[in-house]
Amino acid sequence: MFLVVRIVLREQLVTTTPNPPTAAALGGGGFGAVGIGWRPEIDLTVERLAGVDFVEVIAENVCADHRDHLPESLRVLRARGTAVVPHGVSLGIGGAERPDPARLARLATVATALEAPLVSEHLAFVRAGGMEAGHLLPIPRTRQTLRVVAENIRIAQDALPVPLALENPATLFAWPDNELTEGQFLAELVEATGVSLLIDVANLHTERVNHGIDVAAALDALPLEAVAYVHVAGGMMRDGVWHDTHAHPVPGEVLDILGMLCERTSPPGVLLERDAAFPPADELEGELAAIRGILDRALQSRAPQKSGAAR
Amino acid sequence: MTAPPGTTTTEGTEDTESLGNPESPEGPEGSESAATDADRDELARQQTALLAALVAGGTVPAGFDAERIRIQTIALAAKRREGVLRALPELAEGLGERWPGAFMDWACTHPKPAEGGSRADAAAFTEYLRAQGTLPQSVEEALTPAPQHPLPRPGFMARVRAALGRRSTGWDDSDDTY
Repeated sequence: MFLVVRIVLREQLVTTTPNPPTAAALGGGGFGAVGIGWRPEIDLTVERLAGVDFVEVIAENVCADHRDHLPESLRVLRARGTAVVPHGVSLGIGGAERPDPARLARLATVATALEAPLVSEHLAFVRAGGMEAGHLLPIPRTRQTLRVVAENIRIAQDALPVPLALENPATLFAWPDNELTEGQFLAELVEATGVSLLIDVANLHTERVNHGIDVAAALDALPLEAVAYVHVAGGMMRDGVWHDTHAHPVPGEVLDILGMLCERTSPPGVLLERDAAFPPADELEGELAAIRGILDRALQSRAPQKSGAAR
Repeated sequence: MTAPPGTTTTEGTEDTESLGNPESPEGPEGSESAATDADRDELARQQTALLAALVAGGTVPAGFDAERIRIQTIALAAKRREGVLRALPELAEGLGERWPGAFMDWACTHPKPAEGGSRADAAAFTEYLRAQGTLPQSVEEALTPAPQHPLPRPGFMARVRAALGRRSTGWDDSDDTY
């Protein structure tokens, strides 16, 4: 009966609330989980790093036709119970076209093979007019785009076996005539589709440097109950703009935004992204420890009000 | 591991009210309405015009900051350059001082192939150089398949597979990380 009501609600109102994974589903044992992006160049390092509760893998790069075809390192991590989240980069859910069923089917296969608690993608477009961008590009934040993206998200949700989380992108340029802020746009998408959010605090830093956004206001505009997990990454200034390279150390400004976020909510997980110029393991461990420290301090600071309630 | 999709609570309503957007012209019904063909056509037109400027040498659409579009164009080409260099490292040495300028100039006006990742990008670039008559001999040699060995005896591949334990690396680098 309750199930029927839920289905009717979803069919008629098309309004669902997000159900991001718990910290426990990401290996955080009831507290915020800490993770790192698994990359083939650092697979052994990731396996040995202390304090890794979950990992993320670029979904397009994994052959998941059969469990035996998964990279051995991911099988080792799964055997240990480490959660693996497929992170898509080429769906283009912010594009004008409906999501490609073949790409969605592949993403679903990867999620199933990895027994993933969720999958994530970006609020971005990656192709148009038969051309490939080769990277994530921002979309015009208009009511018209909102209708297209909400429908694209629903199509993706229907094709995926697990919840979808959508990430705020890092951008170098802005569309003219945006009608909504990014926070408003994401909140509307959450409201309309029940999609979860992957909040990249390095991308919020990028938006602050490149477009002058007020990060505190941006965080306040987000429906924080929808946050599934958080990205942290490094970048660099060049040509007067911040480039979100994932190839440089995480700057203090990015960690400060993580602290601001953790003052407002307890994210189920926080994940460090490093894609190139890989440093020695102790440097990665240091960045993971800094993330853990911010989560712990936020937990302690709210403990008196909540009488030590589990996060 | 997680609650089933579609779990309904009352919290969402309260939190979305905290967005501070009282003059939103449309309530939940507005954002829930289905996208029309006109919505998709207009978005396609906007995104295609912008992408043409970024990867195909098109005119920057009105209203955009031309300098930022230039920076984005270079960033996209630079990302492709790194992928192409991994796929065909001989390009840098073969082209010498012309690398990476020749690639960047080409990539800013030639979109990345829709399929095949950086390997296809490298193949398209070398084909362009060959058509221009500027493909270095060393790169041409690197692209030439190694001479064929005599056919192995029947059952050879089966024995190789057995020896390797049918192990797969499980890694496909056709798509780069973003």
